[in-house]
Amino acid sequence: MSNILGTESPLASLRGVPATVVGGYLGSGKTTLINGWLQAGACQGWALLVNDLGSINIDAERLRQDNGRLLELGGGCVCCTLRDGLGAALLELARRKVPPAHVLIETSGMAVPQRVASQLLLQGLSLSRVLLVIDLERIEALWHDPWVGELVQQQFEGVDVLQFSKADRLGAAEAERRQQWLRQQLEARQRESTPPFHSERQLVRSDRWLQGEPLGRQQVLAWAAQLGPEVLRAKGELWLADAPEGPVSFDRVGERVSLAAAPSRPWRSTLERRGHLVAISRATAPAPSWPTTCPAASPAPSLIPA
Amino acid sequence: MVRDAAELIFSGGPILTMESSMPRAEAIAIAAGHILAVGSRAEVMAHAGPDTRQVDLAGRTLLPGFIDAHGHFANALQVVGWANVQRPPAGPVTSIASLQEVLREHVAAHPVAKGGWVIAYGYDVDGLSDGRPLDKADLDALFPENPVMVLHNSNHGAVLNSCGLALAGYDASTPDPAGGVIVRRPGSTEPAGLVMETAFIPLFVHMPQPSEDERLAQFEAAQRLYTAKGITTVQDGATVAGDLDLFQRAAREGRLCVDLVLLPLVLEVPEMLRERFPTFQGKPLELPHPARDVFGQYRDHLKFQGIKLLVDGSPQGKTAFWGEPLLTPGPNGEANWRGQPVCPPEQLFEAVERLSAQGIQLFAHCNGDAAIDLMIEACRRAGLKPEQDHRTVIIHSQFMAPGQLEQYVELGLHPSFFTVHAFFFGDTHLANLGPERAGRMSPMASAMALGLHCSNHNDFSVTPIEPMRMVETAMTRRTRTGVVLGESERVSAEAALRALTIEAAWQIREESSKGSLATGKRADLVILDADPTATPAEQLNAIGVVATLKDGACIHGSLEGVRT
Repeated sequence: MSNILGTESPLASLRGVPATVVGGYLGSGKTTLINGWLQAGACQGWALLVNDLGSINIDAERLRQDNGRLLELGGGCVCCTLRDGLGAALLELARRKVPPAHVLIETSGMAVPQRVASQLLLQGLSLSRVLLVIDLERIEALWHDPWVGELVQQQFEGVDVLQFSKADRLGAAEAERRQQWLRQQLEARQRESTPPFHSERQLVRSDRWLQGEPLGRQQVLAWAAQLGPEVLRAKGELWLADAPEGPVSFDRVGERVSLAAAPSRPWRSTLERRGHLVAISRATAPAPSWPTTCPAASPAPSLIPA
Repeated sequence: MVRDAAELIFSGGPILTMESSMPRAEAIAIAAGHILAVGSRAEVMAHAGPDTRQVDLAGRTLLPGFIDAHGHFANALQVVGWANVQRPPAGPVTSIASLQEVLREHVAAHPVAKGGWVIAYGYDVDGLSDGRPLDKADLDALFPENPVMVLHNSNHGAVLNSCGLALAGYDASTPDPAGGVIVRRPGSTEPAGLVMETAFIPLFVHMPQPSEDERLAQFEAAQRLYTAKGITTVQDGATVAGDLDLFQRAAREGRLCVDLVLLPLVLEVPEMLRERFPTFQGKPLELPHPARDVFGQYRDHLKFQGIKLLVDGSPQGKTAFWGEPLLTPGPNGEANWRGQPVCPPEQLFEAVERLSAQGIQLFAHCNGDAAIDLMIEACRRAGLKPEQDHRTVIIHSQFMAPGQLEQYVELGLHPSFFTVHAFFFGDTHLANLGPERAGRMSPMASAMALGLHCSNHNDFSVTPIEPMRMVETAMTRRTRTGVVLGESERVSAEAALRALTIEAAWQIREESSKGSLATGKRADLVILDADPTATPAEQLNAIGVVATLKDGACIHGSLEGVRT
């Protein structure tokens, strides 16, 4: 996209490329899960950005066979080094001839995944899912840890799905007990709705829908009400007929649906009015339905599986 | 090589040796880059030969060259190409109009092509007399066709003009990112210009990436920032893999006129090793023997001294890690905020154990008392003891809790303090921490009383390169508004000067060749136009540098200014 200077953003080729953020404290099992997804062939043509190439064992060979790329994120405080490791890695991706089909970022164990996700959005990528990987065996100790407890709690903010990594190591009853404990802690914080829990090892499915015509509030709510339990989360920003001045936030977690009363920001321009929704479902779920105005008469909305 | 006849002899002014056995000398003789003799006039004059140049200090003061105990030379390479919009005394800006004038002059001296970035550093809204912050329109008026970035003095944000905002893609429809803010004009969502934290970091992809040759060309100007202040040993205190080739090439090409000490950042070490030892297979943070042997040896004025660990962030940015909450909300409005460590404790414990077992000296950035506790715990687990002479340096050691200095003594840890914080950020610390906790910043008197080796630093480019302000703030601990933080921690001018010389040399294992004036040591010297031990503290920062000598050669100023 050109700006008023007529210059192209150095990340122009990554504009709209879907991204997955996988966060979680050190040792939570992020790498093991990602390797499992690679082996299952879930990441063909993807680019993987990892924090420390040396200390982990991403199945790089597998990734290369699948036409993917592996890059390392630099670290350090921006004020000391005046540089941005994530941006530098994205620049390197953007310089390649063919843009990646998808960018998957494994954050450092100390990162707040929501912050990494916001930076990807500002850089023009689109977000497929933000996962927080949790080791049920350690989460209770980490939650109360005198050094990192507050950070571990902060990592939950703004994530789409909580992904449990080692539930199989605990008995079903014990895993359930710990999930209940975690749910209570998160609800007690009352910061936001508790993200859905996911214990299967497969990568959750993410589908994206772009909305080209305004919808009625009731249509959206009716659509949300009929979504099955296989849809773990649906969220996005919508163009509503009763709020033409800007996008309206939508979020559905389990049975809870929230649809904002008014836009929180204006459209970039009235010509660019376009809502979007992301639905995150179990790996085996079919493509979700979308809230169209008149399914039979209007042309099919663009469906971009991510 | 020591010859009998001196090349240079200085006398006629105070000579502060930093040697406790003889703090003052009457004369000093130099030959072959080293100190041939220092002491009474009669002793030193015995080395005068027919070719000896005798220099009369004419009342000026001679000291050992200052040692940068902690700072970031890589930032100097960038800053020399930027406009300085700091408030006095670090810069000239007192109003939006004066900031605009600085930018105008900068662009006149460093012309930019259409569309090229104009970059300035050191913006501080509290230094403006206008009663309002800098707005994008103030910059648009000067630069309608160039993106402008005026870096905030925290280095965690910047004010952009409209072109800059357009390049970043920020407008009224852009939501604030988590952990960051796009500041808006009152009553609207239109960006005003200032962007902070996670809204600032994405700008780096739009910044020009200078070539290695362009960066090499900045070495001379960057070193001048230091030599103009009397510094003869400079630090790059968080070296990243991408800068290593540059520094080594600069050294090889003879571009270094000062000694440059590198502390590779621990996060970057795996990449540095992969590039240089591609076939080496070791455990994480295991260094091949040739890499270990590189530490501690100068080659063409460049040496690796140790590895830098980061434990927390900055106190003024509220990203340091404290044991108790601040009195004010966190950087994103959090209640009961006490900051966070920046690395997992288990990784820090492992890094300290593995690296110290390989004999590598560690320099750990710790600002808050909880970060200091974490590092103390890591050193305890690694079995560090003072007898091992490991010289682990805790950089900043800023907000220490009672009892921590005693643990430094027990484990053999030594602080590099940051006393200029009292002036630049002291009032902020008072608001965030209250007088008692703020008063515990950089406890230099207590540390010296316990026999610890204490250096003092500017952490350039976090604060300007000003050795005399380090002395002043170590002596007064006075904030910008005049409040004294921790009166009992004030030290004498002599002690404050030792922190910039012999104690700083000790921390990089160079006390036998630098940091004081003694026979056989390197002739790294600075001549000041007044004696800092006889100048009121408030006037110290006005002391000028007449000349700076490295290995006996004048690298700044001139000996002509001193009567010969």
